[in-house]
Amino acid sequence: MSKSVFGALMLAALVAFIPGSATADTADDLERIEQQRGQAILSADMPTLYAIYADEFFYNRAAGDSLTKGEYLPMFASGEVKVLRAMREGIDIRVYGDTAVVTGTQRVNVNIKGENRNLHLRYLNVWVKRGGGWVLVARQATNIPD
Amino acid sequence: MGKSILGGFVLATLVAMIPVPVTADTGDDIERLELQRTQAIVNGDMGTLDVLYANEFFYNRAGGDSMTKAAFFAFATSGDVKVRRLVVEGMNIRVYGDTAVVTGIQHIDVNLKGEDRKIDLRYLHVWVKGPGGWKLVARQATNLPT
Repeated sequence: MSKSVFGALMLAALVAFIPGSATADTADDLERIEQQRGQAILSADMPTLYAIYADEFFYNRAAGDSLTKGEYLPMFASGEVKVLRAMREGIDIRVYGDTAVVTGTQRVNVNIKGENRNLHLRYLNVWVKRGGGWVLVARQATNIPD
Repeated sequence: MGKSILGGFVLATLVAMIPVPVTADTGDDIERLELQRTQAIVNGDMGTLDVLYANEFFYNRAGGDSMTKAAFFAFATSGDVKVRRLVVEGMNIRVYGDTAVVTGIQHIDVNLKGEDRKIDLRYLHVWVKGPGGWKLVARQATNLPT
């Protein structure tokens, strides 16, 4: 048996013993749900948003105020806030067991009470695993000067 | 045995089976760490901050930028910044197992490169409990409207 074939067999044997990469899978789950959240905001898909946001969710907004889930989500349902386009620019996902911290920046074209605005935000999202799925418990956003 | 004595035994047994209120203790622990952190910031006690901040700590600042632990420590020890007073208002602590999410408002008197300034921030902290105890893994701050 040549050295390279032996090496390949050893590598295959070692790989077979490596446990499933739970952290990588979890990060993929979070990436998916972050995308799902973004899509649900774009389409004002309220059932999806109500499922994704924990009841105790709070949002420390870039303007400096803080909203509960009950104050924030109805803005999308009423049409007061319409997100027209949202583009993420890099996302960093850190998983700590059943909690995850996600940060990144995003450019958002939004219509607020009839006025179009372009936002550039840095955000911090905190997710908690609950009942087999992930829910968003907290978010803070800060304006990035352009 | 009288009913009241039997009731007392049953009650005592039930009380003994109630788990220690970990969440309340943890909330107190986190509040202590928050106070310790505040004091260390005011005193420029980098040794304590080094213990409290996780190596992977990042700080999304009110100016829109993001700093690693190393960058924050370099900034804090540069002599460009001196926090003279830091008052926390309305701290809210939520514990999710080995993770805690803290939010509130900070009123800060700071000297930046020789200039005295007053800063009012809304903040979000994420603490994670690991083998080394509770560590601050993320902070985001946003300016309150003036």
